[in-house]
Amino acid sequence: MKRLLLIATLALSAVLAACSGGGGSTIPPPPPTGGFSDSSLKGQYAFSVSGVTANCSGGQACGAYAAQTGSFVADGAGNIKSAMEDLVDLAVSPTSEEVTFASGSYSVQADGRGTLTLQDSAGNKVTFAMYLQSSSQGFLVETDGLFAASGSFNLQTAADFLASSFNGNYVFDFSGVTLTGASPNVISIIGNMTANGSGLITGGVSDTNDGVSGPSGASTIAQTAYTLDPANGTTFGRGTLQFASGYTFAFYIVDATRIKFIEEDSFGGSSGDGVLQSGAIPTTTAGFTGSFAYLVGGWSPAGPDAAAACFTANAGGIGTISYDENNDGGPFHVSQGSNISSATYAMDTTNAGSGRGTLTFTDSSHGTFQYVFYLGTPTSGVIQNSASGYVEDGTMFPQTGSPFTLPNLAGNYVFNWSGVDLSSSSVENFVGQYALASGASNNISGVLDGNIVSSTGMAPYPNIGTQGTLTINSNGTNNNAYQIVAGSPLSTTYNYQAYIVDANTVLLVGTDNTRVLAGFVSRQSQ
Amino acid sequence: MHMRKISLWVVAGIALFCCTVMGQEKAPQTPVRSSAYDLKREGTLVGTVIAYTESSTTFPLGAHVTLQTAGGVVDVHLGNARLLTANHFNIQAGDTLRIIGENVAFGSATPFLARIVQKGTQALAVRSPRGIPYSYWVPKNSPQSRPVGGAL
Repeated sequence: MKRLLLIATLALSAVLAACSGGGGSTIPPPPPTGGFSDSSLKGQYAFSVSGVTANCSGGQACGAYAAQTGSFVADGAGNIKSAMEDLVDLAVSPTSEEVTFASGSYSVQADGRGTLTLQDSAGNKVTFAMYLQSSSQGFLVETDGLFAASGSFNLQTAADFLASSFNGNYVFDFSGVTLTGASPNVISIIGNMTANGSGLITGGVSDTNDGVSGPSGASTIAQTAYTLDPANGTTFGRGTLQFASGYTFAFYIVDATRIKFIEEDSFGGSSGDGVLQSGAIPTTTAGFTGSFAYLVGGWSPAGPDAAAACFTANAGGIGTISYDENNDGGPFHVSQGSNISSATYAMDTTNAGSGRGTLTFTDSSHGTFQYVFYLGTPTSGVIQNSASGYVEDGTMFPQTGSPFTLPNLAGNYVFNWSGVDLSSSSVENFVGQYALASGASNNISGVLDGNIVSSTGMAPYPNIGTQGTLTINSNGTNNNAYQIVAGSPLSTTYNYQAYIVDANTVLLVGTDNTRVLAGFVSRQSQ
Repeated sequence: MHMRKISLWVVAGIALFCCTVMGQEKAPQTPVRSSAYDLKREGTLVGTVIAYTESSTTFPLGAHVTLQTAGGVVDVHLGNARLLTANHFNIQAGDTLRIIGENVAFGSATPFLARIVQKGTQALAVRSPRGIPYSYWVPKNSPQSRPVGGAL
């Protein structure tokens, strides 16, 4: 599951604008139904959330980048047996703090909605609202008022808490804030690194884009070392990795195929996942074909920015494109037609095997769009906007299973969206669940939890009922209208363009003039 | 909570730069996102404030100043009003401002985006060299230099 996109990292630098109106409708959350219970959360889970500081009291720098990555053990009966995390709070320091939790509790409703509390030995608590997609993974949003952060959790395999499990080629996506300029600014680092299972990163290649230095292009990763934490490695899967450049990360092993990273050096703060490459990664342009969808979020010179798109690729040429972007409250759609030119892609033969490729197309009204991507499988990976001044990244998926219809999409889903409310210069983080109950109707209903952080503090919105619609456009492979109305006291109507990846995953980009949001929707498995 | 201000050497640099481009205005740029903000295209506006608003509804949203320059009236996007406030950078009608920035195309709109705003001896960077608006919060440590090229 994808973590929070880059949009919220500078969110409180968002500009002020006129207030937007919202409905005041009372929408009670539906009675929880489904197959989840406390026993659904059993085992050891790695989690990662990122966002901004939310405690504005006492001279705290509310709105600074913050991230937490860690691990907790749930007993299947509502108790947290142990947990730890690495915490980065740039309002305090770019270096991290390791926090251990002696106890905690959680609860899970039938619809997968729940709460999670981690408590340290002094009684301090970190609390989350959580939504289970399955017993193996789900979404989190922090609710304690210290940080406004959201992200995901994944079931860990304790047998893989070994240095030898970190072995192979991993595609990664780190995003956050860099302190390397005159003022904090956004940064995205994506790439591929090779671990030998014996404590060495033997090489790799990466692309960095930030608001300070701009896009780096392909950059070689020098050999460096990683190590499992002697104290917490075998219990939580924790380790550390220092690149030759000085960038230093702590990591938590989910299993041999996925590792969660969090930056802990003086260059800034960032976090993200590394995923083991699998399958025959294309080494030539001709080898990368098919239908794809992607979602990116971040910042542009105008302000916060998010985009979702789908395209078909064949022999270096882009067949069709559908693209939606919201740039600082200015949403627009680009359709395939004579307006599109120079639509091409290429795999990087200089770094063959890395999965690195480039994608570009030009729209007659909106100019040239440029991306770099790294494939984790032959048809999926991470993607970064490689245009100067557009610092954003996200995930690219194969688009399969079309045509998409209400009958094959009916079911229960969890989601996580985040971004910037331009009307109040604030950060939004929400997770939730909804049911598209019937193949005969496009109505959806559900519940969400989250918060909105402004310069004066955090406003929590727990257990908000929602209603909405998903309107399939033609065969569903391009942009589809998606609307969620949140009941009071949130009382807001959210409009999105939805790009359907497959019957289980939907990408969302907001189309409202008053906010820039992006999110992921995943089908629940029980 | 205060944003880092431009140091005196930067202010001096601004003054030197202004000697050559003062009063000039940039022509609208072609809509090529790949060069969305380019330091080489920057110019300087010098003029008198006609109006200032912290929360304009004109794209891009946020703080805008309407400036009477020698070449005409120019609307300038300043970014985050909170950044200006945090730095005690007050703008009022009648003020004389010197603004370094450029026109950037977003579809049919080509707003003038400010990167550095100067009023008297006070100068404030409101955007990064790549054009990204600055946040108003300040980290506790000093800025670090990262390696040239990729971060890793």
